[in-house]
Amino acid sequence: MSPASPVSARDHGELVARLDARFRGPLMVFFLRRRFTRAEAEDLTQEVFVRMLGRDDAPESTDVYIFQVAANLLRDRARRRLTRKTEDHASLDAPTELTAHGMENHPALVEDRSPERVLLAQESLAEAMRALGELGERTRHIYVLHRLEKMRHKEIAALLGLSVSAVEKHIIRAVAHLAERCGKP
Amino acid sequence: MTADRQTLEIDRELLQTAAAWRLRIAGDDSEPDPAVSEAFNQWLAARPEHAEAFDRTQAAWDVLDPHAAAPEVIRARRDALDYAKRTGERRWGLDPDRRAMFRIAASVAAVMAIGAVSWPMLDGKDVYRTHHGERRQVTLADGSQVALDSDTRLVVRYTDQARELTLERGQARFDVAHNPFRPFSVTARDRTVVATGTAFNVDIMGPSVHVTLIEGSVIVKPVTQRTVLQAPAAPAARPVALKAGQQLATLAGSPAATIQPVKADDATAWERGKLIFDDVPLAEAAERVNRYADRKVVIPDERAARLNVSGVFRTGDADDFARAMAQYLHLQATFSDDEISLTVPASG
Repeated sequence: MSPASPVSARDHGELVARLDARFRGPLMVFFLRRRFTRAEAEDLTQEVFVRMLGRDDAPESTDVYIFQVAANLLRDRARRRLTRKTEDHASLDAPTELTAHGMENHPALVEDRSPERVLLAQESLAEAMRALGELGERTRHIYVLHRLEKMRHKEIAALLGLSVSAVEKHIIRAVAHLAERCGKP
Repeated sequence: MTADRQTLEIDRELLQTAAAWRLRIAGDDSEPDPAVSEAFNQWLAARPEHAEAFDRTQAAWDVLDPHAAAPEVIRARRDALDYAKRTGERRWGLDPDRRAMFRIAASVAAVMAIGAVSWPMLDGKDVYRTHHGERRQVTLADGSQVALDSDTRLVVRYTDQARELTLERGQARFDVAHNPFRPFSVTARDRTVVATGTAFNVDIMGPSVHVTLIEGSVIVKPVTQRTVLQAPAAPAARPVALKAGQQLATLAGSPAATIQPVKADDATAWERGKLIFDDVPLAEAAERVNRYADRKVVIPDERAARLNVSGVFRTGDADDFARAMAQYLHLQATFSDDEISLTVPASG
């Protein structure tokens, strides 16, 4: 119970090291997919580890729970934000238990971008459109189909008569070009 | 942090690698592939350049998502869907992927629906508007850029001969694509600003209009004779040519106008979320602050309204502004639910 005692501090250290070795990568990916910046994803990953310390599960069950802890962490953040924004909209409250998979269907809860980032995004629109215009026609359209129309690589490939890897190369080229021209986070 | 960024060497090849990683970790299934995630994380941690390149890629990955319904993005989506549809139809006999075609059809319908709502086209006019506290950047069909400030309404009418815009309210900055054969004009109240390739800011402040030239040259003329804007320099009723760094301010209900030098950066500070006042009447400063604020600053007191103020403020923070004004100008600020009243305190 007392994290101040040397023994449990060492235990905690070992547990974090173990979690880190095993789950840092997957958790980073989990958060990065949800539009967080790398720095935010690192903080959130750390927070998941801290939350795991508070649980006394058997170590084997960690695999099962860790993404749920991650999803709940996002849910709590989103709920805090919603509470701040609209205290009287109880109906917006998240269900009590959301699995990581369930989060996908709750964009309002997953999106946790600060107003500053939204503002930055506003300013970057013109820049992004300019950069997009500099790409070849096919590359540009493929980027738009994938990122905005949310079409899968396979679907785009089938439509345009290209291989999946060719479609992926177009997407990579477009993303790299946009990153070069306007990707300052 | 900035220093770090500058010393890192991020070349195109590295960005391509980062983009390839971003693509590889993409997905919507709940649990990321542990092996891929692990390899990715090792790459990310291997060098600071990798992390920096990835940050930029992550920003580029969904840079357009928040703007999916912006007119220029709608246009790009329509173009892409048209392209896919055309190409798909050509290949229809060869390799019909009905599911993909169905998605295309559904997407086209969706984009059209979004377009109908947020991109009203009436008689070839596009209307762009921003709400309270909203700012927006728009790329027009000819490549000209317009930044709209909060609470602004802009009507764009493009013909083969002319690009005619009307700023009905608010403030906007125009970066005009050069095309001398198709003059670009912005009408605001009783003035028309005519430009060819240039950048300027137009601000409707109460009854007056402020035109600030950032670069290039413009002619500001009274709106009375509605010519089809042939030669901008055509002798009209006292057109005024502005030089870069000059601001023309019309006087309410008068054909006269004043021209004074200003810092273009100050006039367009709103684009960066700032308001910069250099010795302007408190009433005018408050009007600008109110564009972004839910709770308005009101100055019922004539003496207070005429006090001059200077300073830099964040847009959207009327409370802060009112408190600062109360302190520096020794005014009394009274807060109520929907307004903040600044008055000269009773002497004594």
